Amino acid sequence: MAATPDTLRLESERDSAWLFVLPALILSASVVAFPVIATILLSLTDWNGLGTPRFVGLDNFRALFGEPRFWVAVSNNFIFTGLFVTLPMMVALIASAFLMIIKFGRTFFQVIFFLPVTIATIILAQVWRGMIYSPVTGAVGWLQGLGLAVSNPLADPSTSLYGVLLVDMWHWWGYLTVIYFAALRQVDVSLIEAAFMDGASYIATFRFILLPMIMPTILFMLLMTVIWSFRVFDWVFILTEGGPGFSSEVLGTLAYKTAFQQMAVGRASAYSLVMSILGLVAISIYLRVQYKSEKLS
Amino acid sequence: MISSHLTRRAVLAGGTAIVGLAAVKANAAPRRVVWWYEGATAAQQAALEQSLVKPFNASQSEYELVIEFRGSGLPDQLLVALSAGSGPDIILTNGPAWTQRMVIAKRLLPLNDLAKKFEWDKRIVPFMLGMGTYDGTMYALPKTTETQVLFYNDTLFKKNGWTPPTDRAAFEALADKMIKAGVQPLAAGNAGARYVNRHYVGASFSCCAGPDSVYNALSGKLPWNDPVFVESIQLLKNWWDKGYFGGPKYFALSGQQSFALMAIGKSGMAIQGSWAFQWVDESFKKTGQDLNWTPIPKLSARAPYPVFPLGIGADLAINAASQVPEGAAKVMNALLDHKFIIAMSEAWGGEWDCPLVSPPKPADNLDRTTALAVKLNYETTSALQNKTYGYAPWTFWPARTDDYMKGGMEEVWLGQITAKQFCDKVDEVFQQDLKDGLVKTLPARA
Repeated sequence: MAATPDTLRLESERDSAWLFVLPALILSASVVAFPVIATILLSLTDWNGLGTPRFVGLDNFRALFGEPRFWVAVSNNFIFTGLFVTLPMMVALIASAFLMIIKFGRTFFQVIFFLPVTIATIILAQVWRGMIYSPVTGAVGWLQGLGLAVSNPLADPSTSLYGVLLVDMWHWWGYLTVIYFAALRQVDVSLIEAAFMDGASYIATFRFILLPMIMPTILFMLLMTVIWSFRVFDWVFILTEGGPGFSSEVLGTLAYKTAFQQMAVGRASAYSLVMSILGLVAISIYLRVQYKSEKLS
Repeated sequence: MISSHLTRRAVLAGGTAIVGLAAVKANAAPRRVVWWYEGATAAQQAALEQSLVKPFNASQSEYELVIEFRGSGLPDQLLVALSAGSGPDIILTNGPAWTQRMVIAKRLLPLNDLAKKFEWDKRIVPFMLGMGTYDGTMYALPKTTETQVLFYNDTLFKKNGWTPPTDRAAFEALADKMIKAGVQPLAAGNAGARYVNRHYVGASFSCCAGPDSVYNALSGKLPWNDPVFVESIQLLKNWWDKGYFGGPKYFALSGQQSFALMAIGKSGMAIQGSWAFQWVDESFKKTGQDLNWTPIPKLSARAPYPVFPLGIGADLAINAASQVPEGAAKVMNALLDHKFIIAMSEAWGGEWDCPLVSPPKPADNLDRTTALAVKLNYETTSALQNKTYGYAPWTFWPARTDDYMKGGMEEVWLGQITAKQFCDKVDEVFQQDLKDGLVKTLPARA
């Protein structure tokens, strides 16, 4: 088929489109590139943060792979990610579907769902630790006073990670709800009306019309959630500092403590690199899925 | 276009005069001496402003002291700033283990000449001054001496006819009585401050294994998995299992909150540091009950009594990159002034006890809490002279070993590892720190 003026114009626009992306790309790369290169280089040294770094090759990686705390942290990161990616997403989808059908109070519920996202992590963590989980000053203590067999999950090695996870999920699902709700409202109303006219129930409409239409948003938030969950640090550090024992240790807290409390910045850089690689794996999978779906469409 | 009323010369002359005046003004302005401090309440900040900043700035016109309160993130901020070759003029470190790394990295100014000028070498207790000296060069002054004792609710004790224990058997018998009476024996909690765990390790090492054993281990002559240390850790495990620490509540309460529980009689005792005096205003003063202290009981037959585990709460040093080292030294010197120490001891107890050879004579008519703090300060100084001192982990242990003990002790308490496994790991990490030259050489005990 012979090229038309329109297709030639489109091709020319595609060829020059990268020029519009270039400034933002240069800015992002320059801000990210230096720390990434520095982290890679430091991971090959025994730098303590102050003196002159000394090259030690792969010693840091050999040490960390032989360190039991590292494997506990990796395992905790995977558990955290596995639950953090799935449960809030399911709750958020249900909540956003609910927001689509209610007639009154939609804005009120959105505000309530989004509120935890707007409050500083340190405040929320202190509230959960002191006013909810605490057996002395919190709801757990009050329930124990009523004779109920509840305990502070943060005080038990077998539940400490899940105690932190619950708080982070509670904080996160409201954000997802608002994002999914916004995506659902972008779906062409005529599709929904057509489905209803054909006798589809709301659940069927949600499953076969709305969900596929917002799948790009879901996939993108899935990727973001995976990346953010691997980076988890603040909730763990404030609520348990990785304890009791090392039961809730994650790679973020391990890296921080290694750098700033043990003053082993080289080893901490190795932990950070491992964290980044795990995140990169998630990004690669997402990009692959996105590329395939774009090719199909 | 210049107005006809003003000639070009007049404008140039005026401009030159303005620039000249500005330069003179800049030269005459006091040079800033910046000190990054850690966290402090509004009242504490006001006390420091009143007792140090204002008097210092009013006493001379060359320097202006500016204190920035950086909160609990100070150590991290200092590390980053010093790494970049910047940071404040006066460096407040977490103690000798932190100072040592800064010395190795050549980030601190040698103080030998300043020490002679201000006679620090004559005014500060040599042992403590020695903790800031490396290979004969002084780099840091001790800001405050700290120790650990057994605090107790005197009102509760008198009401129940209890006497402060002096040995392990008496302590455990009393603790068991308290449990039967529904009183938690030890006010303890590590919420938000997990490093507190190693305070108990240090106290048990000094008062059960004994200071000589600790000295030998810190000098590399005795391994940390020697039976004396295993026994010390097992003792803490036994206390945990008996409920002396309050069980899971330990992870839900901060040190300050647990101290407040002692002030209302829900806990009887607390193995705490001398910094606990600064919590009295918010606890015992409000409940009207009386606080008292006694040395930590003798926890084994081999340990002497009393033993005061000694620590340096913080070191003061001068940034090697400082443009005002003389000004920084003058500020540090002001902290040794008797008037300052007395004023701050009343306003902010337990934080400004610089170990002076001749400490200030306490004022008459001290309130009860200040009198107790003064008495403790006196006993601490005597402990150095009488060799009845032990070793606090935050001062004498290297950073990696210290960090392991914080989490490792929880593993012991929760039954995840044994006391022997804990000590094996402490020894493994410490020997590596020793090999890496990160353990401070201690003054001999004899």
